[in-house]
Amino acid sequence: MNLNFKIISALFAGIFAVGMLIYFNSFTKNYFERNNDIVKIINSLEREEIKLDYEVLKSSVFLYTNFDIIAKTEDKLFSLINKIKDHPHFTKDHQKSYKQLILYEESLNKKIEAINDFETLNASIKNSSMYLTTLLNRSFSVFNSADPKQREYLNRTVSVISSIFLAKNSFDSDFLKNIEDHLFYMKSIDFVSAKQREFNNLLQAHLRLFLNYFPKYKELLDTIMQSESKKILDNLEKTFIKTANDELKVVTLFSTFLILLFISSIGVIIYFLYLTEKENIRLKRLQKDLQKLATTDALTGLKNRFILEKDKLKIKNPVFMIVNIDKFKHYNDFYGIKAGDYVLKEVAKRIKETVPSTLNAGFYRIGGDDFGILFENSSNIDIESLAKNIIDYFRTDKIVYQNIDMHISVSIGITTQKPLIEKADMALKYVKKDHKSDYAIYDDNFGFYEKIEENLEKTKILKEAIEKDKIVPCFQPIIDNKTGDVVKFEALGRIESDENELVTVYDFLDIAKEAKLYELITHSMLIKCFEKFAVHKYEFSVNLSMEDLTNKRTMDLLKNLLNTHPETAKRVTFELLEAEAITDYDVLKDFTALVKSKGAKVAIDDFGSGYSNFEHILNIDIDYIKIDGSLIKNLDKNKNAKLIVETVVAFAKKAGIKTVAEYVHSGEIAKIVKEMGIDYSQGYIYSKPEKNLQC
Amino acid sequence: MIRLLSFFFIFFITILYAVEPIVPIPESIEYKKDKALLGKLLFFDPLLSADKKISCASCHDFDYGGADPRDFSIGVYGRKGVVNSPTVLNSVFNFRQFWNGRAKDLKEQVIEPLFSPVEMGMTKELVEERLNSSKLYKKEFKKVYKTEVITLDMVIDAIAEFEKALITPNSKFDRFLKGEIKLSTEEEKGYLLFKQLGCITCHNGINLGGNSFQKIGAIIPYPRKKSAQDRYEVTKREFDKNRFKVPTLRNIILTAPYFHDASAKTLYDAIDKMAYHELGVKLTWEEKNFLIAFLATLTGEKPKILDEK
Repeated sequence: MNLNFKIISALFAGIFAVGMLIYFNSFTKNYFERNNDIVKIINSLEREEIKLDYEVLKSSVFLYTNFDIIAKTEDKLFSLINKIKDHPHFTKDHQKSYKQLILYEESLNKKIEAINDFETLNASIKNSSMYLTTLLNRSFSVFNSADPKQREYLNRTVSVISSIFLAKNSFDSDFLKNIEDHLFYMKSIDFVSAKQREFNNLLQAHLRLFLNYFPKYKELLDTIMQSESKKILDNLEKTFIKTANDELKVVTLFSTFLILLFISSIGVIIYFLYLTEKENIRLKRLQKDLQKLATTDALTGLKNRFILEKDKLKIKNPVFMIVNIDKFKHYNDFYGIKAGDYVLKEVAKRIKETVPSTLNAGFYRIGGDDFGILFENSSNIDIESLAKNIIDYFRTDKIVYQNIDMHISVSIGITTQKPLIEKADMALKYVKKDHKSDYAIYDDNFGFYEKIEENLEKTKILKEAIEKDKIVPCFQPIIDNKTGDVVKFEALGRIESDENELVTVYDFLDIAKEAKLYELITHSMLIKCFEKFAVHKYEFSVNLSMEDLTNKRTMDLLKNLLNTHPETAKRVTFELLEAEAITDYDVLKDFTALVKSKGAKVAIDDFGSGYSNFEHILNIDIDYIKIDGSLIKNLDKNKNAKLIVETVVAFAKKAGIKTVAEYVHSGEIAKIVKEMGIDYSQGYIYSKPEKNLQC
Repeated sequence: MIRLLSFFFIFFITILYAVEPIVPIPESIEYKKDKALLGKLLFFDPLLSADKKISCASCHDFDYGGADPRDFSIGVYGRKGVVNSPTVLNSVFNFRQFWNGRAKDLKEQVIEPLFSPVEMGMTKELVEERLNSSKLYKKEFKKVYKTEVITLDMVIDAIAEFEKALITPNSKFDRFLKGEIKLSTEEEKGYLLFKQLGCITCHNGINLGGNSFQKIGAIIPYPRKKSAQDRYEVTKREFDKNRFKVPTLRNIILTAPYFHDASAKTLYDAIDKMAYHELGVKLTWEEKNFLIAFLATLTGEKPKILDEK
């Protein structure tokens, strides 16, 4: 079911119900108005008919009345009947009542005809009876009561007239017999006097009129008073009310139906609303899930980088931290990816626990082992102590995975400047490089941008130098402290610029390693040194790193050189950088054995700078220890440096290893070095590294 | 005997003075003036007769109380009628129209003389054709009925409306009834006689008649002509022979001759005949003079509409 259908059907149901209500309203209004009207008219008819009867009675009792009232009442009755007929509803829906109305009209017509007839008879009877009183008055002047015949006539006259009045006022026909008898007598009698004859004739005429008219008169009055019309009207009213009530039942039924319809249409609307709402909820849930999926890192449950990009726009004064797990690759490689994932999850969890919830910070996983924390800065937030807390937390708390304790440390790069991710990353890199602190807040002085530029520039220079074969060895003499003679030269890599300037290659080594150029530098140095010292019969030393020892091509080249220059091989010393973590001593041992077999010697360079391990030194057959320059140059100032150097020298002597001091840059140092019994020295006080051998 | 007589007398008096059965004509009556004036135009227009020679007013002459001074009216082509034209004045108050009451109202009444071959001799089509071809009537009917086509119904409606306006208020007797003036002794005596003799039994109401059917010749039979338009013509009942609608006595002194058959040329004749046939009596000269003095008070004002244009 689509939305349009729902809307249309709800709308339709609503309109239908409203339409029905309006219709129902007008229907009931019409119904009551029209029924009231008709009942009212019927009641008026009843009243008017009673009035009519009253007027008829009045006209029969009173000697003269105003017939207009009767005529008007008649007119009124018919106009009322027509008023009912004017209701089309009545003639159509109340056919039974309508038939009765027609019957009533007919009966009323009959009644009115009877009234008209009655009026005629009534007028004559009244006029006659009135005239009889006039005759009665006259009778005593017309007839002589002294005459027995005439007295008899007079008596009969009084008697007959009183009978007429009795009959008329009692409406009793029993008196008519008496009148007939008198009339018979009066017919039979004959008077001589014309006046008396005339009186007798007139009296007889009136008596005849009365005898003729009275039975009809009585009958008509009965007909009028007991007219069927009233009964019919009564029936009409009952019938009408009954059908109206039946109609009302239909109306009630209809209204019930309408209410049911209304309720059910509301029900339908509610049902559709419910469906829509249900669908909405489902969609919202789906949307939420999708959003979560799109915004959350599946492993840690933190927000992802995508959301970070959005969130950082919402914050005015952001503080952004990148928390990096130190040497995470180590855990991954050592314990497996599952352990690595576990570590990531735990770290994510702990970072969240450590940061106070009042900061409303957002937590993100922005890269492999990089976690982001973003929050609004304010004056009462101590960013540094927050970073320290995180670091300390990991320092004191271990992560246990399948009974393995893992001590995690983290580094944090922090920034309050935009672009947040880049600058926090720089700060982190700074931390990683500097090692002095586990966190750093970004500072424009980091100059990382320049460093990147510089790196690019260096890479370019280095590549060019290699291509043009401009990597050249320079040589610094090493002095025997006892004799002051130059006994050896250390070959140091230099890049010769187009302007013939020499730049130490040392600064390029990191770049070289990154750019995979390192071995080429070593190769160039080795080849050039062996060529040089094949000619000049001096001892010399060349620097090798652990990386060189593990590089097969370098080792192959070295073996080749040693074999092809056996005489030169006996004068070479390989200086191994102690500063680098020596992880694989077997490689070192193999190397030492190899070069020694060719008569070459081995030195440990920069001894005392890193984790100097005397045991390893002893295990490997070392010829020289070169004490780290940073210790030597501080010998006159730093007691600790002196102590370390003394210890190293004492150890070397006992182990039969010769010692060399680097960075001897002043007379003072040279004196101390000699006093301490260090065998050889090199430094600027004797000579800088030069392209040509300085003897 | 005397006691009995006294009883009758008291009874008689009580009933006699019980009610005042005559009602004055109202000063004015409600009608639509523009319609009535159009009706007046039609009423006087011979266009509505077949030979275009007579109008309604030919037989309802307002100089003769709205009735015809001739015994029987002359219709189109000199054709003679069979009854005396009753007055058109105050006919709105009659309970039926015509002598035998065959029309229940004015509208029903108007049609008959229009179509009667001895009166105006028209047909529906002829009436409509003549009026529709008249510029004057076209204009007038458009004003009143907002119509382009004149129909018979409108003609009848207009004439009936005019007749409705034909009332004669403020007769001396009405003013007496309203307490404005007193009657003279003769007139007063006449009115008393009118009641005592029983005239009022039939001549009552606003029109002193026109509200019931009565028999002429209740005591002494009255000669009946076959052509007489009595109730019998309508009902064919024996009882209805010589039974007529009681004529009004308003403006009676203007409307001679009298009776349906115009057999009474003067009011004296009419009174004599009524007394003889209805009561069987002969009235004295003095009594008749009193009665005529009373009847003369029934002449009202001319209807206002007759002076209006």
